[in-house]
Amino acid sequence: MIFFEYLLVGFAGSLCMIALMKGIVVKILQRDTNYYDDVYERGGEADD
Amino acid sequence: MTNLHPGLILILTGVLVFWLPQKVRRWTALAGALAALGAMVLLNENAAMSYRFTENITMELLHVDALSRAFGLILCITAVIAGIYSLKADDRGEKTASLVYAGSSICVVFAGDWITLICFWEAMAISSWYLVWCGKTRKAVRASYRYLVMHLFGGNLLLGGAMYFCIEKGFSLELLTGSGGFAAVMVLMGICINAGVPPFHTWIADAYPESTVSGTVYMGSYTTKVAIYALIRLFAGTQWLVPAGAVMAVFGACMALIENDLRRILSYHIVSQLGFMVAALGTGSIVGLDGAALQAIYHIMYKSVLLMGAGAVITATGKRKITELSGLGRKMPVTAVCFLIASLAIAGMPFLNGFASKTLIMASLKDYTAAYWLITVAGVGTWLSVTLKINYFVFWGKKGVCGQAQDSTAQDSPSCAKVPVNMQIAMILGTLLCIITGLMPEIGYSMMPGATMGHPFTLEHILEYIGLFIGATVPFAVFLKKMAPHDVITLDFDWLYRRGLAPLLTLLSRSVYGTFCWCERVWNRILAMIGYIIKNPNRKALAKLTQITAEDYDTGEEGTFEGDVPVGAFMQIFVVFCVVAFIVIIILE
Repeated sequence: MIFFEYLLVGFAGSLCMIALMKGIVVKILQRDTNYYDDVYERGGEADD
Repeated sequence: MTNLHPGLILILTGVLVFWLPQKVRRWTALAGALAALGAMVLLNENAAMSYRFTENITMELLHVDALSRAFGLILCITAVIAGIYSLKADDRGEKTASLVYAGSSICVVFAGDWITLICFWEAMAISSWYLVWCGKTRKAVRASYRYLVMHLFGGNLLLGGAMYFCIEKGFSLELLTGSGGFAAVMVLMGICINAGVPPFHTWIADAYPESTVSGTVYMGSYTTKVAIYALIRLFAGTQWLVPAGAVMAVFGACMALIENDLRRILSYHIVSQLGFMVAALGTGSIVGLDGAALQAIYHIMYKSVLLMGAGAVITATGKRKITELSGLGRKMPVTAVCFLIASLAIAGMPFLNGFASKTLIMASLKDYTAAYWLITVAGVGTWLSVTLKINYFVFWGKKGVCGQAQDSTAQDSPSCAKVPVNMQIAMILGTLLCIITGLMPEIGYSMMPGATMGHPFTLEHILEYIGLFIGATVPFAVFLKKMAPHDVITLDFDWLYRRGLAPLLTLLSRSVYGTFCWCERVWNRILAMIGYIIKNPNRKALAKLTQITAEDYDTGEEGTFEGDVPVGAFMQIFVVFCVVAFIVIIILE
């Protein structure tokens, strides 16, 4: 019984995490690899 | 038995190593780490060492109890393993910084008073800053200064709070839980910065991946675990740490899930594992405190193997992104097997050491339902992000499979050099520790201050973890293409100061620089005036002076100072720190 309880928790937790992070969060938080360089060049940092 | 301080042995070796020639340097560094381990094993139960700093201040350098002994032992073992791993690293500065860093961490663990704790806490910050800087890329240097600012900020918070307690209650370290007040909050915040509690966690994922491969192994093992030690020592039972730790555990695992850089994944995963420890120590129960301490100790073991594995991949292939790697299992089998075992241990696989420590943590959280299930979900995240994702996409998956094939930067199989033997030996030693302490959990349990004894290998408990892992694997297999990372970066809380504060810092920097230039011009003008008066005492000096400009006297190259801004900034911070330390000593006197 305990086994199936945790099996379900693992399945649901994994599914929710993948849906949340790979489905929604990546679209909000992920940027091109040059993002910070571009930002700093526009910001005009001294050693750029 | 001996009364020698293992931390001081490492620091002295670090200083010595700096002056030695290359051939002797390597082995001396390793011998120093072995000597420190020997001193630790033979350390007298009642060992004590103190230094009279001033008439009223005596630094208690060596304060030994069960907790400090357990932490001291694992930190010394890690110094040896990391010493073997970095045996062929030739940079004298890096060798010295590594040893001073390890030694300072051990000195913090054995500190018996506030002054000793703060001195070595700052030494830890400076030496680890240098380790990040040793990456010597543009990114590494920038990350190192962000790291330094963050840690000096944390150190000053700790210093401010500690000053209050020194004046009000004396120098000895005491439990501050429930003491309340602004000073306790300052101390707690200072430690939380080092423990990577969100939103102060960003330095971990920012700085750790930019250091050298061996520097990252040292960094992953010391700063955060010493902070956990300080939290156990000073804030055990602070209830809000339970939800904070639970959120931290899930947050780190989630961020690791979408990362692409090998060492950034492992860095976020450090945040997640620290969450387990913070939540457990927040409960304040004996089982919770033992669980947090044991998790910290075991985490040093398996995380160092994981970071060594990532470093071996970088050494062999020159690549650090998952999108650029695949099918390395057959090319570097020792690294792949060690990484697999350590990643199973970190997830809590039965018969490996993570299982033993997580058993205590979960037992301590039984009365905190929300935190219990959040930590369970974080365990699922660990399984997904480290055990499945890295092992599949980097080591054991087919070449160019799934999402990697869609990525333009993906390679079928990168060229792969041989991993140096010393690196392989270090990984094997670390992995053996994970297996031995996993098969014999009583070794770890008996070392803990509460000496919690129990038998984690019950059928029911093993089935819990097996069920959890099988359940979590199904969505991973179904959404395999979705799980493949892409060559992008992920924004975190550091966006706030990297983007938001950047213009403000530029403005401040230019204002300070402008003021400095103005002062320099005025000073040169004054010098020119004095010089002119001395040379021409009979002329109408004042009339002439109106024609002298600063440029007449200025022979300096235009813009030189601007190029040295980072060093200047560092020196300013250092001078401020020295002044603050001086004022503290005066006040305490």
